Amino acid sequence: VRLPVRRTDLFGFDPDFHRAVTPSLRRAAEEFFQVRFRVDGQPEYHGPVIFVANHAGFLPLDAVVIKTLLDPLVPGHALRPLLEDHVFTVPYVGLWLNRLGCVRASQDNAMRLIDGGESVVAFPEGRKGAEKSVFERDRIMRFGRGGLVRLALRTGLEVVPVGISGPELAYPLLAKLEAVGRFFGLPFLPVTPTFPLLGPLGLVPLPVRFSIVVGDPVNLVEAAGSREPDESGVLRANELIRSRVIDLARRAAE
Amino acid sequence: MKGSRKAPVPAPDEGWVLAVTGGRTLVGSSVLGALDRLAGLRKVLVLDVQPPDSADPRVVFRHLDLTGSGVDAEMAALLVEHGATVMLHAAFLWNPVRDWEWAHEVESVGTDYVLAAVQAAGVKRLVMTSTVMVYGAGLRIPAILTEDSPLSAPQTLPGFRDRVSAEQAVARFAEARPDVCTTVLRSALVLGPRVDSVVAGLLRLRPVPAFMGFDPMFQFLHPDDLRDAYLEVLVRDHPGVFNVAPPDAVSLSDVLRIGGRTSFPLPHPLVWAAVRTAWTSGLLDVHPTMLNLLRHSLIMDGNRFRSATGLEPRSTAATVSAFYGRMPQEDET
Repeated sequence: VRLPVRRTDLFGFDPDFHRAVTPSLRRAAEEFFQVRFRVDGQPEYHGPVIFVANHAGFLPLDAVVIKTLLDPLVPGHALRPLLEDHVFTVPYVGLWLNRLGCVRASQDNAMRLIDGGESVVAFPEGRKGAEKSVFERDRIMRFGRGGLVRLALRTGLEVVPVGISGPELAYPLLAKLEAVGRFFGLPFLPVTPTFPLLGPLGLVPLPVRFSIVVGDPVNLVEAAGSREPDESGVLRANELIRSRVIDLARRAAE
Repeated sequence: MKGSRKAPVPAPDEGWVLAVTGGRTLVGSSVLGALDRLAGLRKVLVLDVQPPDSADPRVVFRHLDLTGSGVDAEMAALLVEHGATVMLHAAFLWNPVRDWEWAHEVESVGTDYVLAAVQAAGVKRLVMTSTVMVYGAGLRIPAILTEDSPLSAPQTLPGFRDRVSAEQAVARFAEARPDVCTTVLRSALVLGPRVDSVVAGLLRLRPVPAFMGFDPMFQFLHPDDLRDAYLEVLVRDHPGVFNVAPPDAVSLSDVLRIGGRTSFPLPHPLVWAAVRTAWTSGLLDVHPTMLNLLRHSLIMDGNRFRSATGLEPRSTAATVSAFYGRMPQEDET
């Protein structure tokens, strides 16, 4: 007799749950958001890869859609999106994302996943990217302090840029109520045209068209000059990968 | 980590002497209950404020208060008098207490005294008890903790900050005195029918309170595996710091499913406010930072210990079923 426990890994990823919900997520992506999905680079990767995408939208809808569509690019594995802290403090949402394979973004966690043979999706715009209002949706924020580049150099892995457009309009963020949000343990309470006006119903995303473009892998070790570059090498590599993501996000938006 | 040298204790012909602080703690009493498994042991010198729960004729009790002054000289004299070569330093609190100043005197200052005494008395092996809690809790710690992860308890679980400073003192000692085999075991939360801890107490409730929308994963160590881990490092050289953890982790909802219990989901902000009020007003002995354990997982990588000792702590799932008095079942799939 088996004990009634889910077979998760130590990160909380639940392969059975993942298998069970992936078909519905795929259908939602294809039918509700009518995702246009294009892969310009390699069709498949064997062995770990770091995908890097722009961020779009307060709830990590972008991460879920990217993960669902990009999973077939890493056969035999489930992509592991690396998400900001605040996602995991949101009740139910954080738990659900965790079971789906999302992990809090940190060097430790990413290194451990990659060492275990998993591929990750990074969103180096970080929180600034997730909190873009609908009016700044076309801006791609700075790529932090080079955590992504450090990860790429430490692991020596290829970095595959991904551009996404659409989710920022599924939840058009008009304003952020910080004091109210803090009471609920969130960084802010989002205000969209439908939320909190319509209550929980307002959390249903607007049916806008999503578009994702996956580009060619980039070798950041070359861009940085070495695997242990100085600060300017890191920033150079950081800007290179950012410009690739910007190009792809523009093409996705066309 | 250096590999274990597997050398037997350099004991005199008539056997070796173990000294123990904290003889009534979980680790102290477990080891005192299994003295027959310490080969060649002649005597156990228990240094504590209360006599241990043991009728074994090999156990000798001497009153020693780690919060007193000059205890290092007193302790060193006792260690020399009884010929102790191995020290199990287990005088630590397993639940944060209200009296933080006393805890600081026992854990942090007390460890400094123990280290001075160990040094003066020429003890050959020192074992310190520690816990996963030194890593802290909450979202910002690594999802899977290794022995090299930072100890963030001073910021995130202040009830364990003195354990961290005690560990830091022991680490400095280990570096300065490579001739003394110094071992620190950071055990996962221990769960057993007779274990008294905040988490065990929580899991005994009917229904078990939980946070709406959160389902953290736990690793629970069986008390027998905790005992076996200490018995191993008391008789064989395993210098360094080790996580002692089961290989798996089980979510709170699955823990309750094994136990056949229901949960009572509560909203986190309200519980936090209530527990903080209850703590400050003295109604409840649970510090609000402990609530982090019910929101975010606290998971250790126990590989270093498993490969160094060959010991395999049983799974969390088996420990939980034993805790709830169910027969441990085999996974057939």
